[in-house]
Amino acid sequence: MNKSKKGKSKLLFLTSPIFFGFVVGSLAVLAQPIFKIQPPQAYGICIVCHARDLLNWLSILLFKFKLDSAEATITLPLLTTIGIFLGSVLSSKLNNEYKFIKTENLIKMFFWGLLVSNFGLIIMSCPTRLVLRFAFGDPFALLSIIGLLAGISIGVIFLKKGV
Amino acid sequence: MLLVIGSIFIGLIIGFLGQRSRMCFIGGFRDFLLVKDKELLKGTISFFVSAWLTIYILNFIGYLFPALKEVTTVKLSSYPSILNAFLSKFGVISIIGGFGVGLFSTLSGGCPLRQHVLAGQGRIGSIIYLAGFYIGIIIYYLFIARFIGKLF
Repeated sequence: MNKSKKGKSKLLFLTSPIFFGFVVGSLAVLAQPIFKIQPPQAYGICIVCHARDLLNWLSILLFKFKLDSAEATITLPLLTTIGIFLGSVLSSKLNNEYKFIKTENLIKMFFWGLLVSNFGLIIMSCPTRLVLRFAFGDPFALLSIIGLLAGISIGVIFLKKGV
Repeated sequence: MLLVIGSIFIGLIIGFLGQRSRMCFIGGFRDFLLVKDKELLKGTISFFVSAWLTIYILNFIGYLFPALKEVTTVKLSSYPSILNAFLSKFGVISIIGGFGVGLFSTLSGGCPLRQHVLAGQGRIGSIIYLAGFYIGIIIYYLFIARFIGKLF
């Protein structure tokens, strides 16, 4: 996988999930007071909600149709999801991992995306924000995490059967 | 304007580190169940612990320097107790929503964050997933939100 291991041995900590958790976990909390991503609590990072806020901003701009959004982000767009996409493009270009691969069944992937965003909007959280909300002490996040773990367990059974 | 710059800055950092570390919040528990691999689970726990510690450190700084209160206050409102949460309507919705997110994310192969990163890497399946993801948000607000509003 990592072709240029010798040259980048000093930067090996970048590939550690623990380092990711440390940086992103602190940033998620610090983003609230510093960047003012803040009327809803624990809103520093949420893929589903930030994608919705971006779409809501676009929808108001183009069609004058309001979806729904957090108080802080009615007039300004939240570009977190675009940033994640661009950051990943940048990183994979730098490390020669950028290539088009087709592996999954595309129609299935479309519907999984559709279902995940709908269930995510019911609880206003993606898995990342659930962990963040739990760190803030939200009991509803704990209930959702219990449901999430049950869902993963059943999903793993399906994966073993090869759905 | 701070909001826009801040969010794209955070996004770039998450995207870069997420691509390097293959971090996935669903993947932690999934890999643990499938192949007993704890690497990604450690990342999730590290995320939780550092978020929790940051809240307490900020509170402590706010306690030492009351002038900085505006910057250090992150907990804006308090939450109900766990028993009240469990008995309320929203508790049931939370469990159902969490279940759906967990099941369908496992079947698709990663949490939404991981799919954004994979799409940036050029995985066609993930780009199609993102198309479904954004169309799903519009469908939710056009049809499903009203239906759920009537139920509860």
